[in-house]
Amino acid sequence: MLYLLLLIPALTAVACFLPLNTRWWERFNVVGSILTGTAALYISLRTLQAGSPLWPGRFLMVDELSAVLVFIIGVIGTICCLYTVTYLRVDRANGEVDSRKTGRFFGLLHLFVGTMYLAVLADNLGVMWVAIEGTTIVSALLVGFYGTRASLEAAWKYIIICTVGITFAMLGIILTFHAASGILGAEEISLSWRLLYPVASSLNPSLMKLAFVFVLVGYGTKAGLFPMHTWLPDAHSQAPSPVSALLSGVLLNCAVYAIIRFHLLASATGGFSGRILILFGIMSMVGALPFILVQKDIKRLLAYSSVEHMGIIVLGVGLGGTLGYTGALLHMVNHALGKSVLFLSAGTLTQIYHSKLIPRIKGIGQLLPITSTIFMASLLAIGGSPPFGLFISELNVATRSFEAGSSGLGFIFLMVVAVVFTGMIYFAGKMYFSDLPSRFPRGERFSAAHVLMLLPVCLLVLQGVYMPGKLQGMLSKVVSYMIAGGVN
Amino acid sequence: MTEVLAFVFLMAGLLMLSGRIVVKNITLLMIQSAALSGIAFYLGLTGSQISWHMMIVGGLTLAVKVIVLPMLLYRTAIRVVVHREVPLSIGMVPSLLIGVLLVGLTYVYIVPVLLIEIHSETLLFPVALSTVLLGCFFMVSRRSAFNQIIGIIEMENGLFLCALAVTGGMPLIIELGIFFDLLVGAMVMGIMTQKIRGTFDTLDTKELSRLKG
Repeated sequence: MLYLLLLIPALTAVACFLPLNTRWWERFNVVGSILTGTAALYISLRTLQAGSPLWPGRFLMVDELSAVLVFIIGVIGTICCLYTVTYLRVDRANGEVDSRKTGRFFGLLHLFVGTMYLAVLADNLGVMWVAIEGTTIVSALLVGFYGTRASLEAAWKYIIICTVGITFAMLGIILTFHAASGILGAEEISLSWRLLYPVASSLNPSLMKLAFVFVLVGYGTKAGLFPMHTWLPDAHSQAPSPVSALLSGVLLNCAVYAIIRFHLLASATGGFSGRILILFGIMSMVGALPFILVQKDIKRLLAYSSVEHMGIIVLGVGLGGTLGYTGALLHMVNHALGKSVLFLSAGTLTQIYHSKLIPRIKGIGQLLPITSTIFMASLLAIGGSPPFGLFISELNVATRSFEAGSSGLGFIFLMVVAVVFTGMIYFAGKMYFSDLPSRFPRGERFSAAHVLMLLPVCLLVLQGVYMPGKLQGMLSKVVSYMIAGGVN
Repeated sequence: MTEVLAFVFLMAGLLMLSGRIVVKNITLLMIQSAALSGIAFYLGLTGSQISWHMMIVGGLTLAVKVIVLPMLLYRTAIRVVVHREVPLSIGMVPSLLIGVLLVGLTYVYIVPVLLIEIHSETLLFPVALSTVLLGCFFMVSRRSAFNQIIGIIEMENGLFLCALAVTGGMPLIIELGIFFDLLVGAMVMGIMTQKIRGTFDTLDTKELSRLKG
């Protein structure tokens, strides 16, 4: 069953690499992404309901925590793949993409989604590392897809910085292996999460400290945590918008997932990993702040906001406890939903205005009433205002930081969130409440792309207003699994 | 025997810092990888019984890092490198000095003080760790996109030796995965250098710094 999740994207990718015409590629893409999405939703919901790992395999597994990630990739991945069809049509009409290259784009997109599934399903520290490095290689090609100077520069920085960063994560894995092989024996099985968690408390604590630092530096680079985030705004702003949405909504979460896994392992022998996560979390939030306030490029603005939100998630994980973990998990899902819609709608805007600069994008409310409404709604959601789900998850993390950290920590958290909200709303107001230059035709028709973008927004509202008991039950299962340190 | 090979491994890394001719650097990288595969073969053959795991690792290193990757790099280099000598961001003598310093730092401070918990009897661990650092420094000391690929492969070499020294080799499936990643990654980076060369007319990383803020 789990291999199906890797097989469908791989086969779709192969089909899209075939030398056919655009219409066929689009069909393959639609069918492939819907199939993958269905399988992912089935797997994640079944696992969350059962509350224990189903389909145990030799290299792949899905437990409560990875089921959350599978859900995120399933929803966002499918939406982004489907949206790509309309996005590329506009790009082709604008002459920015050669129609012969669209097949390659779809193929790479599905490979990218497939490697992300592998990263979250891998039951082995090493396989997970290989998969995360694989996501870098595939997505770098997507980032540089336009082949312009700026996009090539962004892609090059991305692949180099992340590859070097992830080398350090490998050092951490080697140290973990060293610590575990004394206990479990030097078979490949001793790098399996399932077998490592029960013995986590007997691993050498100072070795695990070292390993965690290396892993945090390595995967933190990929997750865009503050001092290592430098590739992120470049790659997010230069990539085609569906790819930006996937990078920000899903890929960053995959890297954070790897960090959470290691945190569960390392926290069994002391609170060191939690403290360092709190530090990196708050640094990412504060560090992203000035860049958000002075930003001119809409996609860079969203990228820096991703850095801030990754900080919130990592902070929640570091604080731990029921509230901290609940907040972090909910925030992962909510941020993925909100930010991907934001990138997709911003993509539509930049395509029509032929510019990413905020001062040039004026009067979006008059030009594109539907898209801009979705844009504003998801922007409010990302800012953390009610009735959207992000309000709840940020509230959870804030409460926990007052409770477990110090009041200073909670104060900084709330201040950063408030200032970022102001900054985002200021820019959005400039774009929405301004007059449209007369050269544009007004109005747009409701289309399938809007349905795709509305879906996550509806989920966010639903979650903010009323959380069904069933969902709450699933969430509390994941949280208790994490509090227990990954043992069922 | 491993000592000699480890010495060759480390010296190749240091000498790479002293040259600015791309082709020479690729040759040094090849020598370094050959030493790595030699160490793996030696460890595999001299144990109480022949370790097939080590033999496979040694063979793969030989095939991928000594033959395939350098060939790919040579062919890409011929196509993309404009001048035979790459621009430096740090002068030759200072960069060699910093390299020696990094090695010294690893031997004197990092391994015996910071990483005291890792009990590794062999000499290989400090050699491996300093090579990771040297590879990292190699990437920053050259202002050429192409040399960054070489630096990454050098870092991977160090990492591999690290795994050999600390754990006696990672599980085979992981090592296969790393080889695959490295090969695909180097190919993708090679393609990207060609694209960069086509668009920018140079591989100087000074040109690759437009995106800011």
